[in-house]
Amino acid sequence: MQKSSTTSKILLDFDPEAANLLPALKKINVAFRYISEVDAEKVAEYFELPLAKVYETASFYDLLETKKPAILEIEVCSGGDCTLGESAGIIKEIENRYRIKTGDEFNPKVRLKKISCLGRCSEGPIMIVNGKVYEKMTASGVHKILGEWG
Amino acid sequence: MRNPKIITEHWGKIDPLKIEDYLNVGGYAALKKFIAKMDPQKALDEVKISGLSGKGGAGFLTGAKWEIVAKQKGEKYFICNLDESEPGTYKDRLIAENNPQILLEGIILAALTVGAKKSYIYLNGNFEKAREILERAIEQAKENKFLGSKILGSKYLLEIEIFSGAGAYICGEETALINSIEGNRGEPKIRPPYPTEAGLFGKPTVVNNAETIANVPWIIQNGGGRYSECATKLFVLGGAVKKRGVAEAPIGTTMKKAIEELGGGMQRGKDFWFAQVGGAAGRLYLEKELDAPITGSGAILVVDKTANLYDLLLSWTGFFRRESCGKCVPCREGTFRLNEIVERLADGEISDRDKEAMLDILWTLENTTFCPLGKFAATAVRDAVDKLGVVSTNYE
Amino acid sequence: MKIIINNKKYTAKVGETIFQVCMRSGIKIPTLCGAKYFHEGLCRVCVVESGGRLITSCNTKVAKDMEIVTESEKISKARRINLELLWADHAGKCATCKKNRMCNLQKLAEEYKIENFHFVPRKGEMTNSEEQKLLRDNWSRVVVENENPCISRNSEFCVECRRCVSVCPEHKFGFNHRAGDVVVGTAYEKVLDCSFCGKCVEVCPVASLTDQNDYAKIIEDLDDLKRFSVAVVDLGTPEKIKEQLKNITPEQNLEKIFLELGFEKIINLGEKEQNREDEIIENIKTDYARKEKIDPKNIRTFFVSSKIYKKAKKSEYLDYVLSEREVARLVRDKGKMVAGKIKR
Repeated sequence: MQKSSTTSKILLDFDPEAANLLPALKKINVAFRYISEVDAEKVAEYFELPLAKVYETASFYDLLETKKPAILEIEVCSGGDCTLGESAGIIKEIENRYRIKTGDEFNPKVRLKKISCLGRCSEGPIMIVNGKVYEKMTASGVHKILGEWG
Repeated sequence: MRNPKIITEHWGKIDPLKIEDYLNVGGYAALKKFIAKMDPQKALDEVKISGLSGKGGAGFLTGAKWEIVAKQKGEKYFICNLDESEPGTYKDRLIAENNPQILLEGIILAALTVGAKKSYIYLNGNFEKAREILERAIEQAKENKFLGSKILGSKYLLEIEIFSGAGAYICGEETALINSIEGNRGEPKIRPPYPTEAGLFGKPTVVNNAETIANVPWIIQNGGGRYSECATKLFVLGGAVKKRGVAEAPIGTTMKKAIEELGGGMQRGKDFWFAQVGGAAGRLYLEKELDAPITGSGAILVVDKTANLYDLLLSWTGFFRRESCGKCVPCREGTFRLNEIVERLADGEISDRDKEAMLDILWTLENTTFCPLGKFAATAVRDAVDKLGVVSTNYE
Repeated sequence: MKIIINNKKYTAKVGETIFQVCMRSGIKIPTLCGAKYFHEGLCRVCVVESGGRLITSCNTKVAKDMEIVTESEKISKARRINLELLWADHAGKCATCKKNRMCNLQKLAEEYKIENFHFVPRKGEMTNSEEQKLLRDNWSRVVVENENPCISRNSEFCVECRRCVSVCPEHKFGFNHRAGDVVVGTAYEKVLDCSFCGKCVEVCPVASLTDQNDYAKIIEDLDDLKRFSVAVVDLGTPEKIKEQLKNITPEQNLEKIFLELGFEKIINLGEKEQNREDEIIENIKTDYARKEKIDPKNIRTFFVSSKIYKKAKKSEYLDYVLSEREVARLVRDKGKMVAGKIKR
C-alpha cells in the first residue's frame, strides 16, 4: 500500500506530457529498482497512454528495468578500452565466483551483465555493483569488493 | 596565436560550479556582443563563414543546418546532444564537467540565432556528475540574466532544460534522440522529413553535438573568418598510449601526430599494432596509414601487439548486438548473428560456412539497414577482415 | 510526374511511394512488413536500386525523373540475406505449422530459394554447450500464450514486422525490449485481453498470431458420422475464404468444399440476416432439430465468420467459431487426414 502511494506521489511531480514520460519512469525506477506492472499501469493512466506503449518505452532503455532485479546486480564494461584492460578476465572471475553466465536472468540472487562504455575509459576497467561504480578493476581484485557485498 | 585552445583553455583553472570564474576569464562576452551589436542573421553569417561542422562524427555544416531552421517561423527547438555513448569517447562529458558555462553560452547563442525559445540538453543518463554541474550552471546563468525572459534586458528569451537519457547508444542519432524526448522508444525515424523541417513534437529542430556548440562563443567573439583559420578538435586518446585522455589540437591533426604528441607515444614495451578511430563504430588503421588526418568523433584507441583481437571483436560485436534498436531486420538479426559467429571464432571453431555468413552479414549491414548504425556495426569487423585477415585461413 | 522503372517510363503522382507505383503498374516487389496501409521499412525485403544505392520502395516517395531498378543481382542478394536472417529463427518448423502454405515468409523463402540457412551451425557441427546456449538464446524470450479464448500467440514465429502493433485499435501490442531481444507482444507478457476484433490475426504474415481453437476436436466432430455438422456462414465470409484458398486448392465451389470437409448443412447469411446470427444459430438445435427429428446432442454448430470474438461466446447452441483462415487450414489438411497423417 505504501509503495503504491509513493508511485502516485512521484507522478504528481510531473505534468502528464510526452516529454515527461521518460523522466517519470526513471524516477520510479530509482525509487524501486524497477518498474513493476502495477506501477506501469499507474503511469499509463496518469499519462493517458496505452499500457503497451509505456512498456514498449520502458523495456527499451538500459537504465529502466521491467523485471525485478536480482539482489546483486553486477555490471562490467565491455568497451574497447576496458577490454584492452582486463574486463574479459574480470567477467570470467565473476562467472566462476558465482557459477553464473553473463546475461542469464534465472538467478534471483546475482546477475552479471556486460554493459556498454560509460565514457570513463581513462579510469577503466569499470565494474558496477548495484549502482556503485568501481574504477581500475583487476581480475584478482574482484573478490575483495564482491566479498563486501556478501 | 595560430592555434588557440578554443574549448579547453580554462579547464582545471576555473571552478565549474562558479559562474564568476567563467565571467572573470571573459565568459559571456560573446553573448553580450550578440545582444548589443549583432542580430541572428549576423550571427548566422559568422557561423557560416567559420565553416564549423558537426563534431559528433557526421560532420554536417552547422551554419547550413541553422539556416534551414532560422528561415522558418513559429515554434522551434534547439537541442544540445550530450548523449555521447560512443565507446571510448568522453570529450563532451568533460566539457560539461570542466566548463559548463561555455556550453550554455554556446547553446544560448545558437538558440537565439535560429529563433528557438526552448532548448534541451540531451544528457547521457549515466553522467550524474555532469548533470549536477549543468543544473547548477543553468541556475547561475538565470540569476545573471543570461537565460530566462529578457536576456540581458533584451527582447530575447530562452529556457534550457536538461533531459537525462536512460541508456541507449542509438539515442545519439538525432531522430532517435527526438523520439526519446517524446517518450518513445529511441528508434531512428524515417527521413525525410528531416528534424530541421519537422523535429521535436513536429517542430523545426536543430540538434548539435556539445563540442560543436562549445565553439560558438569563440566564433561570435572573434569572427568566423578567424575561426576558419585556427579551428580545433577534441581528441580522446585511449589504449596503449602514455597519456590517455582528452586533448585539443588543430583540425586535420594526423593520427601519427595525435598518438605521438597528444598521447605521448606508446607505453613502454608496447608495440603499435593498429588504431581504431571513432569508437566501436570506428575504422582500423595500420601503422602505414597513420599519416591521414583524424576524422569522425575523434576517439583513438591504440591497440598494441599483445592485445587479444578476439576480445576486441567480441567487444565490438557485443556492443552492437546490445545497442541495435531492433527495428529493422538486417541490423537486429545481423548484429545478433555476427556476435554469435565471433563467439565461435573466439573459440577457434569457425567453419567455412560461418566465414561466408559473416561476409553476408557485413554486406547487408553496409547496404540495407534503416539507419547508419548498421554501417557502423560493420565497420570495425570489416576492417578486421580486410586488414588484419581475421577470418582467412592463415590468420594466427 | 514521370519516373523510370526498369528502363520504362511510368506516370506517378506526388506523394506516392515507389512501391505503390510499382503495384499499380503490375511490377511485383516482395514485402514482408508492409501491408495495405502501413509501410514501416523494417523488413528491408522490398529494396530496389536507385543510382546504385539500395532503398526501400515501401517508404520512399517518388521524385521527378527518378530512375529505379526493381531486379538486379544486388537486390536479390539483399533480399536473400535479409530473408535468410529471418528464416534462421524459423526453419524446420513449417511441416507442423498452422500457417503452412499460408505464410508470407515461407512463400518468400521459396521464391528466393532459401533452403538451408548458414547463420546457425548445423547440429552436428555444434558442441553440447553451444547447442544449449543456442537453444537458450533462441528460447529465452519466446512467449506462448493460449489462455485467452480467441487468439493463439506464439512469438517463436514472429518476424517483428509490427503489423499487429500498427493495426490494433486498442493498442494492446508493443515492440518490446531492444536489439536481438525484441519481442512483439503485450505489456509484461500479460494474457491478451481485448475485444478480439481479430485484425491482428488477419494481418500477421506468419503463425505468430492465429485463431484459437480445438483443432483435433473439430476434425473429430466433422469426421464423426453420427454428428450432424451445420455451418452458418457469415455475410462476406465466402469471399474471404476464397481469398485464403487461393494457394491451397483450385476448387472454388464453397458448397462442395464444405460438404467434403464433413459438413451436413450450410446456411449462408444474407443481407437480411446480417447480425442476426445468434438467433439463427440458436434455432438450429431447437426448432430445426425438432422439425428434422435430430437429437440436438448430435448436432454441432459452426459459425463461419471473421468475427473471432464470437469464440468467447460459445454456448450450448454454438459449438465452434471458424474464421476464413481456419476453413482454409481444414481444406489444406483434409488430404493428410484421409491419409491418416493428422492425429484425430
